[in-house]
Amino acid sequence: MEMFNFDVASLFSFSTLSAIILGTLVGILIGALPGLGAVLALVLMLPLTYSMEPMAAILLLLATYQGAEYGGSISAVILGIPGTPAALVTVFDGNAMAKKGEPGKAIAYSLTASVFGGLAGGLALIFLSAPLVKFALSIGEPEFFLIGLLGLFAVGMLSSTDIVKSMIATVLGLMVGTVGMDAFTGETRFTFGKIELMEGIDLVALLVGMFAISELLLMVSKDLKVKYKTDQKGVNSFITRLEMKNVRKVIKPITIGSLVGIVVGILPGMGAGPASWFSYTLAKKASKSPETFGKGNPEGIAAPEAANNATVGGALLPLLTLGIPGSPSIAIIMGAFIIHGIQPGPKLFTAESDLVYGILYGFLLTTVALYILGKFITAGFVKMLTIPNPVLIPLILGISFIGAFSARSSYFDVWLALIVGIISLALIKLDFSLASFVLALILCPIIEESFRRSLILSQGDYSIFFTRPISLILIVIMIIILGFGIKGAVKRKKVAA
Amino acid sequence: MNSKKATYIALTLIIILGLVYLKSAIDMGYGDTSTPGAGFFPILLVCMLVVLCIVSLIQTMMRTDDKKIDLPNIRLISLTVIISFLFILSWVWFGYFYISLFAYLLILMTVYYFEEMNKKRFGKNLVISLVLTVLIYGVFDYLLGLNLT
Repeated sequence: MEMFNFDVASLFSFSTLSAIILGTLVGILIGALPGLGAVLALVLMLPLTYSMEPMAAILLLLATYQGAEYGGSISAVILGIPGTPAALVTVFDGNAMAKKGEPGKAIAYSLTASVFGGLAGGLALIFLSAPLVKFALSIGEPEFFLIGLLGLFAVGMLSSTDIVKSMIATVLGLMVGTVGMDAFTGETRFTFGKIELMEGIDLVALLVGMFAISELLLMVSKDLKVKYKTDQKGVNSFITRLEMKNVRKVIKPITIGSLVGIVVGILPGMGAGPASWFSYTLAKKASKSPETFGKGNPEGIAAPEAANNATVGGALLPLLTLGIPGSPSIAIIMGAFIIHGIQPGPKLFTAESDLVYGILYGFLLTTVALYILGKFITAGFVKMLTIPNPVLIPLILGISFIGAFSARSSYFDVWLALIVGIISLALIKLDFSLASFVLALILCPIIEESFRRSLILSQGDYSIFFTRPISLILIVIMIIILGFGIKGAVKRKKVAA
Repeated sequence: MNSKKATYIALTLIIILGLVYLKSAIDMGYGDTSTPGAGFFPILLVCMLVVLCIVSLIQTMMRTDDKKIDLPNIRLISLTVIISFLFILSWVWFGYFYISLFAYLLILMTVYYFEEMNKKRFGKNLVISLVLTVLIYGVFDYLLGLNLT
């Protein structure tokens, strides 16, 4: 099997290893800083990938993603403020343990669980990708169209409180995705004579505006004067070490968290946040001492931390095998593929097998890097948690503009990032889902091309979309998701009333 | 501004945007269902957009609750946007990116620390801006070889 013929030694080149180390360091740092998070970390790193080899570029982003998911727990434990939304659950027991005078131990539990979760996600990626690719190669254009639609549908239904506005955001994302040259006719669409729009709207500039600038403007609004304090005594005596007997105690919640993380990661529209909550609830139910959850129980740290790192591997599965991203973070990673002219999907396993298997095995390497770097440098990062926002915001704004410019050395993209940032802030305030927008934008080429190809194949007969067995199953899944979405909306309305 | 009014404005703007998009899409040609043209998919999207916007408008009209859109520090947000605008403008017009960046960082920090501004604070801001600019130069220009002009 090709998977086992891959030359693992090629992963240990200078460029790949330095990309993994850089990604892990930046990921942990940005993940740890309250209010930032994995998406922003990925957006800031994306422009750097332009000048890299594809494998190093993707591994840089994966290391950043893994690092950010772990980094979120550092501020959750030390400050009681989650660095990422997924680390919110870690606050309960992590911060409680830190208050008992054991911040280092709490972080060590988090690191160990994150590494186990990351490894589990990586192994799932390696072993489940082959059957999924086989399935993907057996399906046709109508099914690809419906899978793309399913991804959008799930994210739209599950990631927003206002379903209709989320669907509007999805359609807007698809509309923006049509800007540029039409793949079928070569005609330019919606460029309004701008040469910068010939190849479509620059993804990096758009992502910087949507997820970096809007987020920073929100920080100016809400958190500018927030001061974070760390217990200097606890920080100075900080050692992220865990004895084997301690590890044995949390094997069960780590297993629960890892499995939940993989499954939830695969599902579109869910991500690390829900995975952490599900795993925490399950670990509490399975625990011999559920009454101590929330009071510094290490199981309450291990389960969610294993889950949020396991989602990374899980979420990569549909991206690599079907070419469908299930969350904004994965959409950004897909952006790196597109930047390098590579379209993720089943054909990638034959066309670029070295790259794919490099990513699969390299993902395990990012987890090892997370463990080593996390163990030795977390204490240093803890001291950086108190960087005041009036310093942090200008710095990240400056880097964001550089990121938007560096993609194509175009001032147009810098202006675009600023304008998109302002519009995104308005959309966030009005409950339009940015996640839906960006996924639709990235999925637009797949959806439009498979839709049009299906119609050409069927000579204009729309029944091609619902008369084939897999298409039917996908439509049933969409109906089920719609049911859940409506049920959730009704429930929220009742609670609000 | 309250949420209902803002939603009406946003949806109206989106519909207008959709109509502009529709005009361009019609010019491209619809083709037919067996050989869809470049405008085929965009026209379908606009139809969906308009329907969804109308549904959302009706939903908003029927809503009995109306909350105020909460955006604290709106003056500071506006100042951040204006200063960012001027920073990009000076970068585009005059070049000298790192000088513009230094000024940008210093001005933003001064604005954010305005209430506690004194000589010491300004001195601190000056040093931090300088260090950050040098750091960014080191990473982007020296290490990554990015020419920001």
